[in-house]
Amino acid sequence: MKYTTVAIVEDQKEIREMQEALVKEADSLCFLQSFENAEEALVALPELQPDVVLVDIHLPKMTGIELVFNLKSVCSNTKFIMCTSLEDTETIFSALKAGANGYISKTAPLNKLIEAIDELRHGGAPMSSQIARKVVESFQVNQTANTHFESLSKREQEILKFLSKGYRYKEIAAKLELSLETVRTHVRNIYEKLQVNSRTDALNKVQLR
Amino acid sequence: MKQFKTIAYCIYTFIVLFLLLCLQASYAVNKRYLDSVYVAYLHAVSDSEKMQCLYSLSYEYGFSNPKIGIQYGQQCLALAKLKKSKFHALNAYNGLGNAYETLSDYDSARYYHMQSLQLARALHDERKIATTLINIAITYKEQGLYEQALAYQLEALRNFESKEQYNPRIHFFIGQLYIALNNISEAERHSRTGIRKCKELGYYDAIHSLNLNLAICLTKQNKIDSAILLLQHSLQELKGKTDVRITSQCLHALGEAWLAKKNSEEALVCFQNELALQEQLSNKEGVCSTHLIIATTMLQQPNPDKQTALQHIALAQKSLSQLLHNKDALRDVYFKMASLYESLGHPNEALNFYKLYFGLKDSLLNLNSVAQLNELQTRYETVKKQSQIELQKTKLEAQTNSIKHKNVQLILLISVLLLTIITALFSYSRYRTRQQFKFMLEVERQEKLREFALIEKEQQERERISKDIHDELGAGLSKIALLTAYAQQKNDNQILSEQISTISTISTELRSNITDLVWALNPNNNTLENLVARMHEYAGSFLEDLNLTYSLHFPDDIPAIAITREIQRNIFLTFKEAVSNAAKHAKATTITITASYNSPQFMISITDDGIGFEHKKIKISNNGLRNMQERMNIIGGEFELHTSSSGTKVLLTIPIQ
Repeated sequence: MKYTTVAIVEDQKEIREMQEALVKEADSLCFLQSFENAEEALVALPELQPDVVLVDIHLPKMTGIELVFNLKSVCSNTKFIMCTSLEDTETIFSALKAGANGYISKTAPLNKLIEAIDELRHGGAPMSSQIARKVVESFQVNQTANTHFESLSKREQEILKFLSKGYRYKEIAAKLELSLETVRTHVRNIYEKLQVNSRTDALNKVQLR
Repeated sequence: MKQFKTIAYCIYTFIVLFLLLCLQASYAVNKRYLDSVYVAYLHAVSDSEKMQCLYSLSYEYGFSNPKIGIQYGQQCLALAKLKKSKFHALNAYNGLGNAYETLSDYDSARYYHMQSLQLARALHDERKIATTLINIAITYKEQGLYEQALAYQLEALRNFESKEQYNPRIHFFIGQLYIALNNISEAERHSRTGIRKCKELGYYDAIHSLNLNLAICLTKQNKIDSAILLLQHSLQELKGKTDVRITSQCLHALGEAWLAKKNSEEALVCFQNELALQEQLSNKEGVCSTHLIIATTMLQQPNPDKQTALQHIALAQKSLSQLLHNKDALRDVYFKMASLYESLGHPNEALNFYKLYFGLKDSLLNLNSVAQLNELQTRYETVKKQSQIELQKTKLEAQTNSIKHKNVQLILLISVLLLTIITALFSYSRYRTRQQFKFMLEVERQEKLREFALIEKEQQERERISKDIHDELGAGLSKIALLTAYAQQKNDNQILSEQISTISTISTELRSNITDLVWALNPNNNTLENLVARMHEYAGSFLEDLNLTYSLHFPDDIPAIAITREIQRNIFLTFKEAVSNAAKHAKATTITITASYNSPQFMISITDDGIGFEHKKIKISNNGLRNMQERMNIIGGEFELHTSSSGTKVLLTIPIQ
């Protein structure tokens, strides 16, 4: 069996060491290296090409969001999980737009971190109702301003609507008679479209006469 | 007979009133979109949303009411500068440029487009650089400065080519400019390149405009038959399409081609069709030149209808004001008018327009033109005398007729008076209501703005506090929660482990409370809809991890009614407490949660099949119950508790309007 390789970017020593310990203990994971700041990680990670990177959002100089944005194009197979101390929607949303694949609260039960990594490797990513609402808004704003735009499919819109109303993946799967896997795949596709659109950004609508 | 006339006047009056109403209605429809953007602006929360709205307003008003467009553009620009957002400043400049273009103030428009260009270059946005170059070129073209316009268009083309992008209109613009500069071979080359590219890339709609250019080139090279074929083909394809502008241009070119073939009959049909389209577009400039060309064409016919031709010239004259910015075009029009009047036998008008034409062309009149003017002057004098004699004759006739027609005139006068009074009254009342409406809107707007300034301040404060809480408290608590959890997992000392466990639980709870607080402080979350979504989500994530069955019934159609933070907080905390009681203390195996909203009552019930509150082992405490009761009292809600040894039902009912 192939191990999932993990790198960590976290400025607080205690948390970094503990995350290292957790990763080392887990059977399916293989710890690669950890970094105190984004600058070092930016240099080393393209070489390492880990499967998963745990990134703290609040880092001393360059933030975790900028780090992900810069690494996304050179580490195309790497998944980024943002670690947050509080679920601050705005920040998480910008991280997702920059290319993060998921996020986890630092205070989630210890086994959740390992679960999140495993889940992410198999394509799942969480989306809270607030994030879903922001995603919907972002697609609406872009739709009016931009012609080169990846729009959402009917299904994806439906799933976003349920997510924004507080439904869990399981409930949505039951409601739409889909498998849990399919719901996860849809959510992953929504994230991808969001990232593509954020990168190309709203083009100016210049009228040519 | 008299009765018949009165009825006819009545019908006429009604028709006029009806037309006025129609006009009003169409005006209202055009306004609706802008109003919705304005409302969006008033409700925009973040600065970037505001700037987006301001830009949309500035852009859209730029075409219908450019002065307002400029105001919004300036607002957007000021905000963008304040927020140091190059992207939005670029948008603002673009909006301003477009508005000034509509005002025909091309120098100002160009200034703003140049600013746009600088920013686009700073942002390395290749697409915007190219489109802005095109905008600048358009301003030059409108002023008749074709060489400069061409230079910018060519730069834009190079830009597109180097980035392997393409804009289907670019070859059309370049072709137009080359035609204006009389460089037909270059124009033809660009048209053909454009057609090839559009076919390759699938821009089929853009092909027609390129065909048009090509046809103009062909006409100028005397290949008239192929030009006519090409245009007829394009017009056939354009039938039923909404792009009226290109259709009118094609018609014009086709008319010119027929003229070159000396077929004035066909040409006239084309130009008359074109006139209808130009009027539909309310393109004054186009209307003017089309009238003139119709008049010219008419005079080329064997038996010209001079009266209609004169009417066309008079109509063209009405549209002249739109041409004032483009001296070259104006000069041409003056010349055409003068020669038309001359050939129609109106030397006095012709003289006037020749004067205007020479005044524009050159302040120093050459000998030739002086002679021409002198000749015209004499002809003018004779015609003047003749017309004076004519006038006196008609006056005499009129006097004799007037007595006969007095009765008819009286009726006519009264009807006209009546009509005028009705129309005046009608428009005055409309004017009054509109004025009042405007005033009310303005007052409302001012109030809103003041309100928004206050709200913004409060919001900033709130954001600052939640950021502080987030950064300081949140991070520390997270660390404690995480470390204790880990320590607990690693420790085998019984007593220490219990204590660590307590610390862990407390810090996790504290953190969760702070998360709730930060959530509640977010101004986006202040609706019932969002509260219900949060309760749904919380219940789902909380119960998912426990070993019990649960069913959640949250309706999808909860309205987005605004609620206060107090109501929000008290409902959520009570709900949390009730769910946690059911899950943790009641030893339940099944939990059912149902929410519903029937205006004005919001109801939530939490039902479990646990051991109930009367059981001795449960000491949740009267404290918890009292808390829930009190929270409901504060917000005017009801708290009901039904409990027995086979289960408990908590029912919360809160009035929300």
